[in-house]
Formats: sequence, C-alpha cells, structure tokens
Amino acid sequence: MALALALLAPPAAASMPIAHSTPSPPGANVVTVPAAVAPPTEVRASDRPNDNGGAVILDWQLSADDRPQHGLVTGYEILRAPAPAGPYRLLGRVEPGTSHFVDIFAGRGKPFYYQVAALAGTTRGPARPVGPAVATAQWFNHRRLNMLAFAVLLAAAILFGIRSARRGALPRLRELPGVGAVEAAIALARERNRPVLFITGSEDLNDIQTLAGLSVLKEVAGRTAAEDVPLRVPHMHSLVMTAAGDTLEEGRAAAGKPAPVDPDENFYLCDEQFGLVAGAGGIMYRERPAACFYFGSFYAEALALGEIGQTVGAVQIAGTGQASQLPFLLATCDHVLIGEELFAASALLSRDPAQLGCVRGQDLVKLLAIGLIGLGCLLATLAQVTGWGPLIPAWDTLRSLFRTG
Amino acid sequence: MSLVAAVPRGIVLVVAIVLIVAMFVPPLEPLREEFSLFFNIIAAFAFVLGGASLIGRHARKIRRRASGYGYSVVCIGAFGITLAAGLLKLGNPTGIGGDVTARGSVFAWIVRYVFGPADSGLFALLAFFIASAAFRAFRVRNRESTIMLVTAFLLLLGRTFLGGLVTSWLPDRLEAFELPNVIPWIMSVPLKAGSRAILIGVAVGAIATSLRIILGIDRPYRGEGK
Amino acid sequence: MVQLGRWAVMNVTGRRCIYLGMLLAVTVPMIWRISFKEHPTPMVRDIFATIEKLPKNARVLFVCDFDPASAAETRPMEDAFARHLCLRGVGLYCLTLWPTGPIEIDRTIRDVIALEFPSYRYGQNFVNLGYMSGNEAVVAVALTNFKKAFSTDVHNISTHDASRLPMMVPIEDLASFDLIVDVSAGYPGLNEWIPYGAIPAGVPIVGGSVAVGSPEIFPYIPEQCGGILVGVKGAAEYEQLLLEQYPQLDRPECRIALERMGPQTVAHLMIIGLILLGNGIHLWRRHKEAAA
Repeated sequence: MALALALLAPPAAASMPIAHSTPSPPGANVVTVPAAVAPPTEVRASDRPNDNGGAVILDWQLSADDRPQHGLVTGYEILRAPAPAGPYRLLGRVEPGTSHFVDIFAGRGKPFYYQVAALAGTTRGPARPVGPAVATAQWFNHRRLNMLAFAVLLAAAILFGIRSARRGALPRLRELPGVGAVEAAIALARERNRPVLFITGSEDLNDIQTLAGLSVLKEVAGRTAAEDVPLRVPHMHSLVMTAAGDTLEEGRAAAGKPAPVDPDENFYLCDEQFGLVAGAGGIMYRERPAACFYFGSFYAEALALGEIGQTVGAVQIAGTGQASQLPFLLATCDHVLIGEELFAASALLSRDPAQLGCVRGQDLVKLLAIGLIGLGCLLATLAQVTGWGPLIPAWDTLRSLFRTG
Repeated sequence: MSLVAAVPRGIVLVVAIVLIVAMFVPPLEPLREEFSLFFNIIAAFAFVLGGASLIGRHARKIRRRASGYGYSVVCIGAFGITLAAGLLKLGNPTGIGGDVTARGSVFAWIVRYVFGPADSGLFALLAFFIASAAFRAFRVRNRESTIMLVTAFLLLLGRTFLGGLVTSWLPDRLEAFELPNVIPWIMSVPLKAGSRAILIGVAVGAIATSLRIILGIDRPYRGEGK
Repeated sequence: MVQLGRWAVMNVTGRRCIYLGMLLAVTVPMIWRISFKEHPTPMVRDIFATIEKLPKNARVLFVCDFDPASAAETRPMEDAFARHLCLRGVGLYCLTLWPTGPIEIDRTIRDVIALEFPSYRYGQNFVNLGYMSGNEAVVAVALTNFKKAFSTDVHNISTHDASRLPMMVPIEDLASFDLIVDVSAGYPGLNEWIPYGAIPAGVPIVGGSVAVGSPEIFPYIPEQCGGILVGVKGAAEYEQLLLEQYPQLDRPECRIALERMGPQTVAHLMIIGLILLGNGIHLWRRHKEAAA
C-alpha cells in the first residue's frame, strides 16, 4: 500500500529532493574556486532515449587527474540550473572513475543546464555549463522492437492455429497419459463413493498457471457433476476461490448439470503454503479422496501434498510449470503434466476446436524456437571451432535479436 | 452475445491491449504498475471473502457437531485472537499493539512463538516425506527411471563428504570424472538444458493461454453457452 | 536365516520405520555435534572472491527474501554474507520483498551487525529499508528510481533525509549499487531481481537459494548471476571459506551451517541406503515372480 501511495503521488518537478543546495553567486557561470584538479572534458547532456521523459543523461571524459594511483580526484559533483547563468544547485555526487550520471528529476519539456565539476576533497574544481538539455518522452521504445516483432509472430502463429482448427482442420495431438487418466480417476471415485480433491496451486489469480488450473477445474467440475462425485476445492487465495466458484458453476452448466456451489466444496484455507498443506492434508486423512488433482503453480508443498495423497491411497494427477517441483511430483504422483502440458490439458479435456488449434499454434512457435536454438548453437560451435571471420558477426547479430531493453 | 457476457469480455480485451501496448509505449508504462496495484487492492478486498468462507465453514462444522469440530473451535479462536492483535495496531504503532517487528507486541509474539515454529515444523516434515518418496520412487523399472536413479544417487552422494572420497583415487588426468567435478557439470549442463527447455515451453504455453483468455476462448463468460 | 514373507520385508521397512530412521539420522548427529570439513566448490569460491574484492564503503543491496519456514537453509547464508560484507567495511542497504522478511532483517541486524560490528552505525554504514509489497513491480520501480520504491526506512525516516540517512544520498537507482546480494527462498527472489533488476541496471548479483529452488537460477549462472549458495551445503562451504580467511570467526555462531551439514550428510546417506534397499527389495521381488 505504501508503494501505491508513492506511485500515485504526482512527481514533484520544481522542488526536487537533492542532497543539499549550494547556489552559486548570481551572474557566475563558472564555479569560483581555485582550480585544484583538472576538470572533466567532453561533457554532454542529452535526453535519455526510450523513456517517458523526465530523465537526462550526462556523460563526460574523466578528469586528467582522475587516476587511481594518485587519488587526487575524490569524485564528481553534478550541478543543474534552469539558465546558463545559474543559480546552479547540486544534483548529486559520484565516485571517482565514474563518467556517467542520470538526472531522473529533469521534468519533461524543461530545458536545463548542467555542470560537472571534479572534486579534490571538498574543493570543487572549475566547470563549464553544457546545455540546454530537454527531457522528452518517446512514443516508442526502440530497444523493444525485437520483442514486438516476436510477439506479433507468436500471436500470428497461435491465431493461425485457432483459425485453421475452427475451419475444420483439427490438429492430431499426442494423447497425454495424465489427461486420459482424469476420467478413469473420477470413475474410480464414483465406484468407491469417495470425493475428488482439486488444488489449483499456491499462487494467486495473476499467475497464468493458476488460470490454466482453473481451466482444467472447469472440465473436472463437469465430469464430477455428471458422475455425481463430490468435489473438494480448497484454496490458498480468496480471489482464486471466488473465480473457482464461477468456474465450477460454468463447468456444471456446460455438462448439463447446473447446480449452485456448496460453500463446503469450494472454500478458503489460508494464505500460507504450509497452512494449505495442513488443511488439505487434514481433508485427505479424514475424507480419504479417491483422486487428488494438483494443477497450478506449486512450491515446497508439492512434496507434502503428494506424499500425504500416497499415504491415503489416492490416485494423483499433477500438472505444473514449476520445474523445481517436478521431481517431487514425479516421485509421488501417478501422472504428471510437465510444463506446457499443463496449458494443453484443458484443450485435450474439452476437445474444443479453438483450444486445440491454440495448442497447434503453440507447437509452431516451439518449432521456431528449436530452429533458432539449433541455428545459434551451430553458429557458435562453428565460430569457436573454425574461427572463420564472418561467423562471429553472424552469431553476434543473432544474439542481438534476443537482447531485451 | 448478451450484455452479461460482452461487458467482462470487453474489459478483458481493452485492459489486455492497453497493458501490451504499454510495454512498448513509454508514456503508458506507469499504467502497468497501476494495474498491478489495482490487482493488489482487489486481492486485499477479497481477503474479506476468504475470511467469511473460513469462518462460515468452521461455524457450520461446530453447529453440526461434525467429527473433529473441536479443531474448528481452535481455528476460529486463533482467527479471532490474531484479528484482535492486528486491530490493536490502530493508533498503537509501538508497544503491545505494535506490528510484527515491534518489540513486545502481541503480533511479534504470535509470529515468533506460534506461526514460526508451526511453519518450520511443517516444513521439516518434508525431510520425512522425501525419505519415504525416495524409498518408493527410485526403482529400476525402465531405462529412464534407471538414468534418474543413477543421477539422483550421484547428486546425493556428491552433497556429502563421501563425494570427494569415493573418487579421490582417480589419477589426475581423469580429474574431470571426480564426483565434485561431475556434480557441477550435471547441474550446469543437462539440468540447465532441461530447465531452459521447460522454461521455454512454459513461456509459450503461458502466451497461448493468455491469448485464449483474452479472446474469450478458454473461459466463456456467463451468457455464452456452448 | 529368518524366512520373511513377500510383504513382511515391506512391513519391517514400513513408512513408520523410515520416519524413525530419518528422525535418528537427524537428531543423533545434532546432539553429538558431528560435522565434517567442507571443500568449497568453484562457484562458492567465486562468490567469496566477488565480495572479498569489494572496496571499503562500496554500496551493497542486501535483500532477504525468505521467511521463518525456510530459515534453516537461508539464515546461515544471510548471516555469513552479513558478516563477510561487514568485515569488508561496505555499506549495507537491507530490504525485503517478503511480508515476513522484516523479521529476518531485524534478527540479522540485532544478532550479527549490532553484536559483532559495534562500529557500524545506522544510517552511515547500514540501513533497514524494510518490506515493500509489489514483488517484481518494486524491482522495476527501484531500477529507475530507488527512492520512489523505498521512500522511507523501517523507522519512517525519509530516504531523502541526508542528515539522518547520509548513506542514501548517492543512491538514485539500482545502478548506484556496486553489488546486489539476495538470499531467497522462492517467489519473489533471485528469479525477479536478476532479470528485472541486476541485468537492466548492469549491477553484478550473487546470492543464496534454498536447494529446491536453485535449479531455476542455474540458467542465469555465470553470465547474468555471479553464483549462488545452494542450500545448507552452500552456506557451509561459505562458512568454511570465511573461517579460512578470517580465523577470528572461529566461534559457534559462525559455524551454524557447518554443524547442520552433519545431520544433512547422515540423512543423505540414509536416503542413499533407502534407495539401495528399495531397489534390492524390488529386484528380489521381480526375481521371485520370474522364478514363480
């Protein structure tokens, strides 16, 4: 909440919080102190690119006296004024050896003049003003052009998959044993007259794995309603509980068995991961579910939940993108959906053409990724092994395509 | 499409487009922070729903005198005490009503002597669970499980003092095969490759799922039926 | 030799026996203080060298992203890092992205900095900026405007107050720091500080992670992250290096992870034994079934 208040407060433009202010005498445009050290040279002030305005970059060449072995220069002071004649106020200090400073309090559209003076102890050396520098906003962040291009490419591949599936060209997807086992597990629960436990992970609704888990929950809700099997869905986050309530209703309605959600079916436990373990573990020990489904983002609780499920003899099916928890789920669960299989699970369960087409689009993107990785490995290996000149810039160009800013 | 379905779908689409565009248009970047704060604020309000769910469920259990209802009494009691301790903070920033870092506050006591040990104790259960999981799961059933078994064996051994001793007899030219050198290789080459592959797959899957949600394919809103 | 039924062996080595064995494997070395000498790995040595090379008065962002549940693994790392950084005379800027993190920062300040380094002054040599909610959004804001993300310290002193927090004066953004040290137990943690903070700011980052979360960080090592201490073993190796470099630290409170490696080593050996026993039983049963 403190961050919320800080961010909502308008940034002060004129009254910048600076360390201290030492305005220079009126009419002076050079700091009137006997030259103790040589000034920095080639001082440049320019707008910081690819930002929202409000920042000016200062670069300079180090003072001739700024050498580590001499220790004459103890730092640099940066001063700023709205006019070349001043008054200059101290903006900040940097360590010796530094030739870069960013004025993040410049204020959009306001011209400022800067001086960069070398310090010898507390004595400030001479400095000439540079400027005016005006911070302006750019409407496009060019450093992210590559990201935009890839985003468009990825979206196009996925939309192509959806479109072709909706037109009848349904992709043939590899059957995932874990997805196929969901129906069998629910049937087992009906046979044993035991409930099914479903946990959507330990992250909140803003995590994409939680949303993927809710998509699977919708299909499971429909199937359990059709088979008349009770469902238990404990949650670690209230928002997920609320969304899951809607999901359960939608799933049951889609299966032709609309029914309100019982508050003892879909409920909140607590916001701590081991509180989830304690609560869900207690449910498992008391109610002995025949099947336990874990679809979402999990952390250390994955092992505990899986092992407790093993103790009570439940069929366990899990799906997560958390690579660190996969070993524990593999050791404790009967079936595990790894990584992107979690995101494909709802498509395979629902057999909805659009969702299936989306999975095909995903695969097209992965093929592209495989191709690029292969090309990069080949270039890097050949460059290393052969040392052939043109390979190195080719490898650098390929790498630069993936740099983010 | 009915209004009940169109309005939330429209909100999702507009917000998604704005946030994606904000990634590339610097003047819109503060919106990303604002929207994530909106989420935090909404999640804070949702705490009330969660609290109501918790109290309601345990109250029903107590009313029905269901099996184990005594634990529900403990749960509601603990909830009430912690809520009261939190409310004590209003107007009392220090002392007994202080926050969790204040000396002598009720909150600090609850965290230090109740929450901390309970949390650590449950975390410690993992040691027992991993032992039984290892006994059951690491079996030579097929080629893949054998590879997993051997790798796990090497990693476990390498994390003990025996790791260095077991292969210390190897000559210098075979130093690369000593266990303390094999372990970092396993972590930094095959493990890293597998982790990166899973990361890429998850990222692509996340993009696809996000697009499905934005376009309303995955979660038809109320009012739209199949 | 006693003839055991096909399932009798499983009963003898049932779950309860495994749990009892694990209990003994952990408590016996703990009570008898069994420990072993650690041989630091190259990655831990690199982390040590990175901190050892820091000049006096360097600015280090010290992030404590863990809670009491994972303190068994992460607290020794935090203490070892705090000790080493204070021995190097650097300025410590402590903060956390976990709601329960302030407890750990408070404890480190109380039990390590205040106790072992009395010359360290608050506001001049170390500052506690406390907890800020927002996860990676906080890192993104701190990247370009640190004082906007952390406008006050934990005592409500403004970070612009040069008289009470003089060490905050040169801090503008994340690039103002010489090093980021993050001890993390999950989300948010190193996986957020590296891509959203250290890489765009161009600041080196090292840290520690619980063992189970470390595979997520390995893809960043060594280009984007200088290295991490992995679990109790990593913390023990770091303590070993500290003891070798600074013999005056040979005290019980500086050997916590080394002592914990005793139970961990025995527990690991027990799990290895269980794996071998489990496979032995499995192969014996398969042999019996094949013969029958």
